[in-house]
Amino acid sequence: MSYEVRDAGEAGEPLRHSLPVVFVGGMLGTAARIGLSAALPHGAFAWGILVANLVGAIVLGVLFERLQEHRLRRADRWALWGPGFLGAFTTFSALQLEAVDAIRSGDWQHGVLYLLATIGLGVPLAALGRRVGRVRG
Amino acid sequence: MSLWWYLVAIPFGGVGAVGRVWATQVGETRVPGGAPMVTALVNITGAAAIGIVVALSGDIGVLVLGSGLLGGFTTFSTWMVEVDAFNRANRVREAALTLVLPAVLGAVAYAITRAAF
Repeated sequence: MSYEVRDAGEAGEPLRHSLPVVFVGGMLGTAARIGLSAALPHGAFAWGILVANLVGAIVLGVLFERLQEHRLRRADRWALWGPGFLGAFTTFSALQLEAVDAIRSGDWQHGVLYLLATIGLGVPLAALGRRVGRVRG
Repeated sequence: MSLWWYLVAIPFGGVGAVGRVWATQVGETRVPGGAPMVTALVNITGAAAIGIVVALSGDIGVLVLGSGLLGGFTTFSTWMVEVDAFNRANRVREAALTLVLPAVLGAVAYAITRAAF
């Protein structure tokens, strides 16, 4: 998304993230996701991954809107919480693993529903996050 | 599984996140389609890779390399915000492609590597 993040950088220059800052954010996001997965039940649905992905989509929407509005003036703060924390808190690989493993085990309804529900809710939640980020000034 | 392995997985997630951001920074000006295409490639690659991890390794490998490294490397939130950004710009076709192609190709990639290894 940094093709748009560029708008918030200086004089059209791409925003260069500090990779050590991304590393710290990525560790925090990974720890939070693994903790959430361990805390929430894993029955027919991997609830932890679902909740992490949907919460992450809305919060990234909020942060991204604030970045666009030039309210996140410090690039490091965006790198830490955006691509770092929320990038790692949410996951695509585990989403596909959960969906396809359900299908492989014969429970294709749950597998397809898991994938469709995650992306079907994720897009409107990201949009909602951007509205919230704008309203909250 | 020992709590220590959970702690080991965490820095692997940091490395994965750095890999994703680095790939985006290098790829966004070079790859046709820019950053959203890089996100899609990262995610599909990560889905293929986790199939190999699950097929070949035990619980510790899945935790450290799957939940840690590849969980941090791949992302859902950026993907969703990118789809929404196309939507807002009334670029509906790109929004649909950005949403549907990784969803399908990621599932196919995981299914293939999971079965092949």
